[in-house]
Amino acid sequence: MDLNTIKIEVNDCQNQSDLEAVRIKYLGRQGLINQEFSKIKTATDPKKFGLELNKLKNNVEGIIKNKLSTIRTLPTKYLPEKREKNIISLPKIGHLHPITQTERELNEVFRKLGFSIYGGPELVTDEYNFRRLNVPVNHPARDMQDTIYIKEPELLLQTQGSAIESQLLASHKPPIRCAFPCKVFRNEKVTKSNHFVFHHYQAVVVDKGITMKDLIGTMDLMFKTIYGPNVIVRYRCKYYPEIEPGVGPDMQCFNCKGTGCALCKYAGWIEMGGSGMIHPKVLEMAGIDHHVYSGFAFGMGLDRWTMAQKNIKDIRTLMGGNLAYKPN
Amino acid sequence: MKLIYSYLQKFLPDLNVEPQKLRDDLTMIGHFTNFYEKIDNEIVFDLDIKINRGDCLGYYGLANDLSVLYNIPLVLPQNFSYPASNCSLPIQVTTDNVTRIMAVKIVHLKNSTSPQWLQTFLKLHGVNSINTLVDLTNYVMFMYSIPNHAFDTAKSNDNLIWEMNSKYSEFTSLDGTVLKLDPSILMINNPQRPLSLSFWGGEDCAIDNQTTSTIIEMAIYKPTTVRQNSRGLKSVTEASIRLEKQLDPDLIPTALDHLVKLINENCGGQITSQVFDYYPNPITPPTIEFNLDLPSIMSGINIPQDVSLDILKRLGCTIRGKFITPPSLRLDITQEEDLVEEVVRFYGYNKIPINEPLTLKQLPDITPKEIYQIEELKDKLVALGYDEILSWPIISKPSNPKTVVTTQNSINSESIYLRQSMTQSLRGQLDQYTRYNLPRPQFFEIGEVFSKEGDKITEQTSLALYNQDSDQLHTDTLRCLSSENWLFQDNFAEIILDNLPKPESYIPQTINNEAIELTSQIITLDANITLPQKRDHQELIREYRSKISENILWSMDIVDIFNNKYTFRVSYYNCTDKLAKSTHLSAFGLLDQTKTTTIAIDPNTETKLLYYDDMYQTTAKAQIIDIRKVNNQNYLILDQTVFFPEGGGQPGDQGTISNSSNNLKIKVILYKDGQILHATSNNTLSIGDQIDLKIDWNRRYKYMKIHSAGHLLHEILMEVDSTLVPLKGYHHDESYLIYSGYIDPKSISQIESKLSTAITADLPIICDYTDLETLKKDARSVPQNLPLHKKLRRLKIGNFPSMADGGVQVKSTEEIGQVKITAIENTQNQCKISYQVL
Repeated sequence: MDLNTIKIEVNDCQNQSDLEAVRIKYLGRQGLINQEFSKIKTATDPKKFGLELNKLKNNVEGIIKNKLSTIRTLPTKYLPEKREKNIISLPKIGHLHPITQTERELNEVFRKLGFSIYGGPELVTDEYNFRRLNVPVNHPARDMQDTIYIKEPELLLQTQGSAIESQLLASHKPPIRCAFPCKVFRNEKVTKSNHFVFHHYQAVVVDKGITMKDLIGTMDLMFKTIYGPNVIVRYRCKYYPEIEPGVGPDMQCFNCKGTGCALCKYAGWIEMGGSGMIHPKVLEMAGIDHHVYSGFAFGMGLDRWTMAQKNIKDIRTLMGGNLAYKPN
Repeated sequence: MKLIYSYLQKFLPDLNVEPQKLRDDLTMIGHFTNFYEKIDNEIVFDLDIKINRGDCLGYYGLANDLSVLYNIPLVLPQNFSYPASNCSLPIQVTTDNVTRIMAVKIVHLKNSTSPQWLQTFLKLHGVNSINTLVDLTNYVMFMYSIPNHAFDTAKSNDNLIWEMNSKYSEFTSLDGTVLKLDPSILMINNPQRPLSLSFWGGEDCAIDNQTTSTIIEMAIYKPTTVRQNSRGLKSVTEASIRLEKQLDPDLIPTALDHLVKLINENCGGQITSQVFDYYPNPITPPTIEFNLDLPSIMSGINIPQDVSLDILKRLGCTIRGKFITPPSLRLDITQEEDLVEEVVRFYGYNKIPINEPLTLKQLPDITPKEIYQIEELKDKLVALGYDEILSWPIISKPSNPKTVVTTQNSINSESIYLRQSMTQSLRGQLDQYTRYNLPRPQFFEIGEVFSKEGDKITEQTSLALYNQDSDQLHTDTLRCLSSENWLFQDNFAEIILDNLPKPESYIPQTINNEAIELTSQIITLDANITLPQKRDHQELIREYRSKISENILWSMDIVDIFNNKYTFRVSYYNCTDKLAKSTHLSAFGLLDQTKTTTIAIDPNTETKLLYYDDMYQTTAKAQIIDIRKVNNQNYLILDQTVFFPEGGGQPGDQGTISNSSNNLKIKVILYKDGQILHATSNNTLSIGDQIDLKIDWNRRYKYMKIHSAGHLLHEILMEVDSTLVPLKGYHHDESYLIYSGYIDPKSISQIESKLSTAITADLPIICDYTDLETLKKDARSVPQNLPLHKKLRRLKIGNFPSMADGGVQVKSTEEIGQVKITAIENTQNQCKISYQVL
């Protein structure tokens, strides 16, 4: 095995997959160089043998990397004639999932206000999903969400975006400005209009002097950005255990314009989620002095809005199965 | 929770606001009110009460809120004066789960069927009427949100014991349900038998019309005990819903007074015991040190201190300097922030401006790098032509049973595992795409995968993609992520992202997407065409694409080229086989090569359709231009006709054709290829004969009205719910519309009233010839199965959008008269709404 032969092989590569084949041949787990390494124990001078082999390995990595950069500078734009020799199509672009698109629109609103985008695991402990959000064991608020538990003590699939909020508050000191999309899970029967997985969006702010006016103004800015400047949202009192005072945003029904229809269950308004000033107990449990700092949090579901926008009638479509995209 | 306006006024005699305003005000102060409706001459509201407000599961709690909001007095019924008695009830309490019990014994009462008002009250709350005594206990529960119970002492005796269950394994509730008991259950027993649960009475000592003596008890327990009992026994009652929330023990005397008074008025009887009152630890609401500036500080608007004080006073708080003690009714108020919410909700959430958001503040970016990594990968994959999908993270078949994470309580008995690899999920998606015949799918998903080793559970982020061209798949994996960790399996590739290098920052590119919900199979057809010369391929595709409606075209490729011969492969969606084929043949100019049912209309033999020029014309003269005979039936073809053939859900005309020697009844009229066929069994007529036509006008006019009513109803439904998709209209004597979607049967009166408004407005109904382009501009939607061989006609009612329609209609809505919705039937995905023109 000499370096020059390898160089020639690398130079002959026309595309990335050819190059990858060469790379796997020499540098892969079962590659020739690794096979050589296994002979080290039987070598007469193991140290020298090892050093030389390492040098060779580094050289090969280097020339492959160089070659890769030249291949990459070739136009990577998708050329249909090359894809499938027999089929000619218009150039194809893929599509983001409609939920991702909605999430990105929201992220953009908050980035402009100096928010970081946050995230967390989907499996969480009871502590972060409930107790740190002022929902102790046996609290009736647990009935608001049917939880899917894992066969391990204390672990569950997060039922709300606030589970990420409690992790965020526990691990960062104020001032905090974060927004995040996430998947949430409830033990619900899957039907045309109900699903056990859905998508939440949550924003959390903790700083000195944060008020309900900041919360309502920011939420309204968000609604107007994504739903258009003419959207009418009212902000009213609403209860959630992890906030006090609570604020419920309701959007005037876009279908009936407030007169009442089947979509809004004749209320004329659609509940858009929950929000409020972060409960002092929640701040306390996160080690944040609520006499110095205050904060707001709000969360909303993305699925129904996304469905209305894309004219999707069955919520199951969002989570696989019937969702498809027309090729351009 | 249901709330009857007139019963709310019993606590608030000065309440006098419009129901609409009351609905909105209740919502603004925290009690979301869906709607109100008039039933049995009562205005009934439908509210969602939040779990922190057990008091508002009764009229009294809501009245208390409204008396603060409207600043009107809350009035209680007069106290009941109990007669003096030496008899004390031999009640025992052996558990500390009881907060307070009050009880009293009444004898010589006469129980019977409830008075009408009481039956109606309970019916409006969704509760069956049993008898006067039982119904009154329920009435008082709804009024005060304090559950209570009446024991028939002939069956139970007076020795009631509140205790934790120690001896009984079974209990039969009032409705005959047998429940298995354990020692955690709080019960009311006598020394011999179990009598009642804390939230559900027993069958053994139930009140009936023969009951003459009773012990009435009203009690509040530790909410968690009732909650655990009710959940454990899987039994939820109106009482358990209330008892598992915080209720005010100090309200019991008032509620008991009211109940005893009502029993006295309605069942007579005599009180023979002292009022029993067990209340070992009277509650003391907390005293909260309150900064009166806090409402302003937290809300961000100026709320004067005296306004805050006034609100708290009206709420029933005791105020001593800066120390506030809330009333016992409001045990949910425990700290300063709770008082702030009270002040702000009565001061008005709507006084907080909505146009003063946070402004930009640059803070250190704490976005986890894996988020940047995921966003970058998504953009790369989309650029490479991959579609993003999302799939279920719960699966039914583990790929490795040893390391799979199992749920304790999943949504069904099969899907109980958390997915171990993303490829598993993508396979399911591929199956589904195959079922829909989706051409050349390529897609990806980024999501969480889970595994377990010993006690350690690992959650990782994984990316997987699919491409049916495996060479391309290999190339694309490297283009988006150069790593040797890729795992290939069939035409799937998967990689765990957690340990890979991540970008420091990444701004996602926004991509507009159009997602489609597949509801029927995609139909793929090939077309071979020969062109005079070779052409640019992409230009050719664009040219042919423009000939097919975007509504049904999925994709178009050229799959073979030989000299100037091209094979196109076109996929259609959202349409029938028939429509796909006819569109395909017409787009590629292949019509004349096939046997098709479409025949070009010959202008020389086309029947002039007089009914389109004047829908009210009943007679005409015509000449027979052809007679066709099929199976003993003669079909007359005329140069012109007033007879409307069956079509578009509207029945065809009937009438007579006559000349000097014939007077024939015409019952069947058909349209075929530009001609109207009038069926008759007579064979004495000849081509060239002049004849007189006369339609049965009463019949025609009836169906014109029914048809127009159907269209008007459609427009109104589309206004109520624009997501409905029309599937069928039938305008015969039985008349209905069928939609894909759901129509709430409760909306009949709303729809009828909108119909009646539109009919009274006498909107013009215009029917004329049009073309597809014009129709597309004004119509909500254009049916895909429009007949291509007829001139298009449209219908327009008032300012509603146009729609394609070839029927005959009345000229304005007032002519329709009254329309009644006779039924709304929802099945799985469809809704049928039946109507009748009166």
